[in-house]
Amino acid sequence: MFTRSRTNTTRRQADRITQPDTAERFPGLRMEGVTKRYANADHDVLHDISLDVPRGKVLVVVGPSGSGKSTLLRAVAGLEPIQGGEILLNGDIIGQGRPGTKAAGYAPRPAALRTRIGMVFQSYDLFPNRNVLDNVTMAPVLVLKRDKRNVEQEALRLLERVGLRDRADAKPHELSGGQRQRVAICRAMIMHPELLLLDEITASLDPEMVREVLDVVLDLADGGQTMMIVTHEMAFARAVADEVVMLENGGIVERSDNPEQFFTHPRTRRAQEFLETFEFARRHRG
Amino acid sequence: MADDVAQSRGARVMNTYLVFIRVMPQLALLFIAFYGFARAWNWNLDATGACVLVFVLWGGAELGDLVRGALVSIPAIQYESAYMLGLTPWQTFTRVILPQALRRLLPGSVNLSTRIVKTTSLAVLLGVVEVIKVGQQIIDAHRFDYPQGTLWVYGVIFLMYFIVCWPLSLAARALERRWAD
Repeated sequence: MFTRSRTNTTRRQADRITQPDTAERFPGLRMEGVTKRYANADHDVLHDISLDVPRGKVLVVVGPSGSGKSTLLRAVAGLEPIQGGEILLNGDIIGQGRPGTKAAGYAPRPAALRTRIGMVFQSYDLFPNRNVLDNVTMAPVLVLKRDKRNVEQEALRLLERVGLRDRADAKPHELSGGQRQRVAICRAMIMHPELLLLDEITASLDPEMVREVLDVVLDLADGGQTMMIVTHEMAFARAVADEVVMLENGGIVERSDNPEQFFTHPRTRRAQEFLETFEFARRHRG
Repeated sequence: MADDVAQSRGARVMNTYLVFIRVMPQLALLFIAFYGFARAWNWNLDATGACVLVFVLWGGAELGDLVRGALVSIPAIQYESAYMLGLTPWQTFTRVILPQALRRLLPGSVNLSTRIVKTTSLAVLLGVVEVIKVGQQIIDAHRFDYPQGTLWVYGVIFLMYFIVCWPLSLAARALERRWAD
């Protein structure tokens, strides 16, 4: 499933040595000219996207469906190989593309780089054959070779923080959607990721469960976790964002480091229209 | 049927094999293996050998398709989560995908194994002396002493098949309950 070509990896490492140090070890996530195009497609899904997420900051990506926001997140994650540009995490190249890079499969990224990024998906994240505690402890024990006892204690502390310590022995199917997403956040956080990616993590939840998940994310933001978040919850985006970017058709429409201003007085016409679609004025007179 | 796997030459060969075996009635396969091979290439398989060959090929094809179905039914996010957590492909397969696939495989594979057991009764048509043949011999030998014997002999054969198949489905049901997710 994870295709990794040896020649590709070696070439990549060679690149890293000869690469002029344009990044100057920028602390955080840096995307430079990220371009993504599917095989046989006639246009880019992502076109020349350059964005920074400084360490400790939260970037929220908004935009209509099909704008490429999830694809951008997945490209950073390494789940979508890119055909142009560069992705750097704390100065290290984690993704690089040139025209002709294969469009399908996962990016050839070694485990040591993958574990530096955590990700939570819309749903079906948790491994259904394992209980909550095992879900959280699996990667640190298996991948980082940490001591199991130690990891379990840390996992329980994390579960405590999200209010799920008493459900440590439960199977994922015994939890509500909101509880599952909180466990998924713990599973990502126990790896101490330098960057946490959240891909519409509340999109499949009932409204009353959205809050319990988003409160956890707000806590993480307060704790200085670098995050890149794709969401449709505009009120939440406004509450958590340090920076906002709006995408459409694979390009950046508007970018702002003043979320309050973006959500109340967006500069571009397109962003205004987009934000208005979330508002309902009283229209029906019964 | 299996369009998504038909990419490499190996996959195409296996796909053809699967389609061929599945569209054929098992009886036709048995006759091809027993009479057809002998006629066409002078391969004289004995009746039992022909049966073993056909049931291996048929069971293999059906089970292979069940395994394929179980594997492709695992959501892509399971692979993606494992990738993000840094698991190797082997760890992903053994710790995440296979345990889930096995559960999904269980009902279908038990169903298949009971079907195979029952279909072995066709072997009598190639002249293999199996339970039905022996039953017929008993009936013929005692036709005049026990004219009512037919019902009882076939009744016992029914029981023998039942004794083989029933525990299989019991075990499957027990496992399914234990693995419920």
